[in-house]
Amino acid sequence: MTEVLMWFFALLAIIGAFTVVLNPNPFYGAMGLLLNFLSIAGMYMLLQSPVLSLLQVIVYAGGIIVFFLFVILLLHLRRPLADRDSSLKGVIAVALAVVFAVVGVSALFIYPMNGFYMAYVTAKDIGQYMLTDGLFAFELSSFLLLVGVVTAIAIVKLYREEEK
Amino acid sequence: LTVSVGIVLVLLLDVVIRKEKWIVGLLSLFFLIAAGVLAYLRVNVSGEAFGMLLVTPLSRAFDLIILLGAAMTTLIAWEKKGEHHFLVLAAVLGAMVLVKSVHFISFLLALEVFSFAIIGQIALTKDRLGVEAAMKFFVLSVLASTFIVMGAALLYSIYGSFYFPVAYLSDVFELKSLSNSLLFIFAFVLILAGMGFKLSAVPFHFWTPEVFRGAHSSVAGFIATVSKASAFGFLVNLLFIAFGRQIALWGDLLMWLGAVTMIVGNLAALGERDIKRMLGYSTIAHAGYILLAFGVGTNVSIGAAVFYLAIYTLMTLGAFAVVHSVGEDRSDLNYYRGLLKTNPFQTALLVVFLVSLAGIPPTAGFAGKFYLFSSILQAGEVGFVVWALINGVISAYYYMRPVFYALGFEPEHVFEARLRPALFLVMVIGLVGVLYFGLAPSGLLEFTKSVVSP
Amino acid sequence: MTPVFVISLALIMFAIGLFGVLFRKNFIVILMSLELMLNSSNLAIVGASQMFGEQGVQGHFLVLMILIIAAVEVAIGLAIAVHMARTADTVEVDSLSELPK
Repeated sequence: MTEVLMWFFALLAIIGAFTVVLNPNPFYGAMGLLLNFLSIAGMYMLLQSPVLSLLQVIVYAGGIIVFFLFVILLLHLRRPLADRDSSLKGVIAVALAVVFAVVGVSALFIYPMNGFYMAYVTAKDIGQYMLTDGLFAFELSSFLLLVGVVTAIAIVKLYREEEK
Repeated sequence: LTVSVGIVLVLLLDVVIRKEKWIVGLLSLFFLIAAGVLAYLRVNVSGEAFGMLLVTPLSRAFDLIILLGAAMTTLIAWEKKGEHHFLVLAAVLGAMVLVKSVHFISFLLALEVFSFAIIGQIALTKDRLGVEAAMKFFVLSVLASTFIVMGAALLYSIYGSFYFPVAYLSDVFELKSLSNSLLFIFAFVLILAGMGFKLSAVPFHFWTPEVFRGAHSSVAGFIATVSKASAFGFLVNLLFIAFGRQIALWGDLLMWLGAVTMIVGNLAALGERDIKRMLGYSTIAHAGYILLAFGVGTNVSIGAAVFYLAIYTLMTLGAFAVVHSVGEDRSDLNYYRGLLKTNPFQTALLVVFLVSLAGIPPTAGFAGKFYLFSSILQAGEVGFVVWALINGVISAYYYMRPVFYALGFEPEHVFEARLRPALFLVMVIGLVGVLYFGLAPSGLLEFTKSVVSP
Repeated sequence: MTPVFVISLALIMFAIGLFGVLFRKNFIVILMSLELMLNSSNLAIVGASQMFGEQGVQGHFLVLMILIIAAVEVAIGLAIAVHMARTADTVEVDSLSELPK
C-alpha cells in the first residue's frame, strides 16, 4: 500500500514542480508550488518522520506560499507576462537541467546503497540532538533570522522618508 | 572564542543602530579592532569548539584577514546608516564561523548569514543599478547555496554524517570502481560549483562586474576581499580535512580552474571603460592566482596563498577607497582623466595601489606574487607558473591604463574629490601596508609560515 | 521505497527548479523555483537519513535548519522584489540590465 501512496505523492510533486516552472501566470505557479510542498509533506510521513512533515506543512505550505501570494497580488502580477524566451538561453537551460538529472540519477542507481533501515524519528530525537551537539547551529540560526529581519526592514525603511 | 566575541560584538551594535551615523561607525570599528586583537593574541591556540568548529592557527590567520578587510570597509562606508554597519559585522561573524567550521550544518548556516548580510548591504541603495546588482547577486548566491546543500545531501547519503573528519577517515570510500565514485564526484562537483560562485571562478564569474558596478564601492571592496578570504578559508578545511586523501582528484582540477580564471579575468578587464568593473575583473584574475596555489596543495603554497590574500586585501580596499573618494557615480575612466591636476593626493595613491595590484617590484603585490609563484614552482608546476606570469603582464597593461589617464590627459571634469578623515585613514593604512610589505615582507611571511605548521 | 527512489526524485525536482531559475524572467517565479530546489535537497537528506537509522537524526536537524534558511531567503527575496518593483517598477529580470554588459 505504501508503495502506491509513495508513487502517487511523487507524481503529484513532479506535476507541482512543472506547473511552477512552465506556467506563465505566477499565480498558478504558486498553486503548483503549494501542491509540491504538500506532496513532499506526505512523503515525509511515509519516510517515518512525522515531525518534519507537519513542520513542512506549517512552515512551507502555510507561511512561504502565503508570502508569495501576498507579493504576487500586491504587485498585481496576475497578467501573464511575455515571459518565456525560447532563445538560446532557453535551450541551454533545458540542456543543463536534463544533463543534471541524468547524471545524478545514474550516479545514484549504480551506487551500492546499503539496506533501508527505517528509524522512526520523533520530535524528541530531533530536539534532543538539537540541544546537545547541535547547539551551536541552533544559535547561529537564530542569528540568521535576525539578519533576515534587519535586512527586510532596512529595505522598507528606505521608502519611509518619502511619506513623511 | 573569537566567534563568541563576534556574536557579542554584533548584538551590542544592533542595539546602537538608532544613533547617529558616526557613533555607529566608530563603535563598529572599535569592535572590529577588539576582535582583531583577541584573535591575534590567541593565534597559536588550536582545538575543538562547539563540536562543529575546528580552531586552528590557520583559521586565525584567515580571521585576521577578514577583520582587516571589514575594518577598512567600515572606514570607507563611514557615512552609511546604522544598519549597514550592523550588516558588515554580521557578515564578519558569518565569515569567522565559515572559516572555522568543519561540519556541514554550521558551514551552511554561516554561509547563509554571510551571503544575506552582503545582499542586505548591496540592497540598501535607492538607485536602480544598486537594486539590480542586489537582485542578481541574490539569485546567484542562493543558487550557489542550493548547489552546496544538494552536494552535502548526496555526500550524506554516502557517509551518513555531516562531520568532515568522518568523511575522510571512512575507508569505505575508495576511488577504485566507477560505480561508487561517480556519486562522490557528482556531489563533489556540486559543492565545488557552489564555492566556485563565491570565488567567482571561471564558469561562475559573470556576476562580478555588474555587481561591482552597481554596489557602493565599500560593499564592492568587501565582497572582493572578505568574501574571497572566507571562501578560501573554508576551501582549506573542506579539501584538506574532508577530501584530503584524493589530492590527485581535486589537485589538478583546481590548477586548471585557476589558469582559466586568470586568463578570462585579465582579458575581460582589457576592454573595460569603467574602473569599478575593471576592479571586478581584477578580483577574478587574483582568485585565479590563488586557486593555483590551492591546486598545488603543499603547506608552503597554502602559506603563500594566505600571504597573498593579506596583501591583496590591503591593495584592493585601498584602490576602492580612492574610487570612493573620487566619487561613487563617477566611475567611468574619463573622469580619471587628468586627475593629477585636480587632486594630486588621490592620484598618487591610485598609482601606488594599481602598481601594487599589477605586481611591480617595489610594492607588496610583487612580493606576494613572488612567494606565491615560487611555492608553486617548488611543487614542479612550471607550466602553470609561466602561464601566470603571462597573465601578470596582461594585467599590468590594464592596471596602468587609469594611471596614464590620470597623469597624461587634460582634466575634463574639474571636481574636488571628497576627503573625510575616515577615508584618509583607509588610504594611509593601505599605503603603509603596501609599501611596508613590499619592502620588508619577511615579517608577514614568517607569520604565515608559522600559521601553516600543522 | 528504497532511498534511491526518494533521492532520485529529489534530483529530478532539483533539475526542474534549476531549469526554472535559468529559463524564467519573472523574479518571483525564479524565487519559487529556488524554493523548489531547496525543498528537493531537503527531500534528498530525509531520504538518505533513513538509511542510517539512529544516526539519521543529524539529517533531520539539518532539514530543520534548511527550513529556516529557506524562510529567511523568501523574506529577503520578496523584500528585494518589492524594492525592485518600487524603484524600477518592473519585476522582469532581463529588462533591468542597465548595467552595461
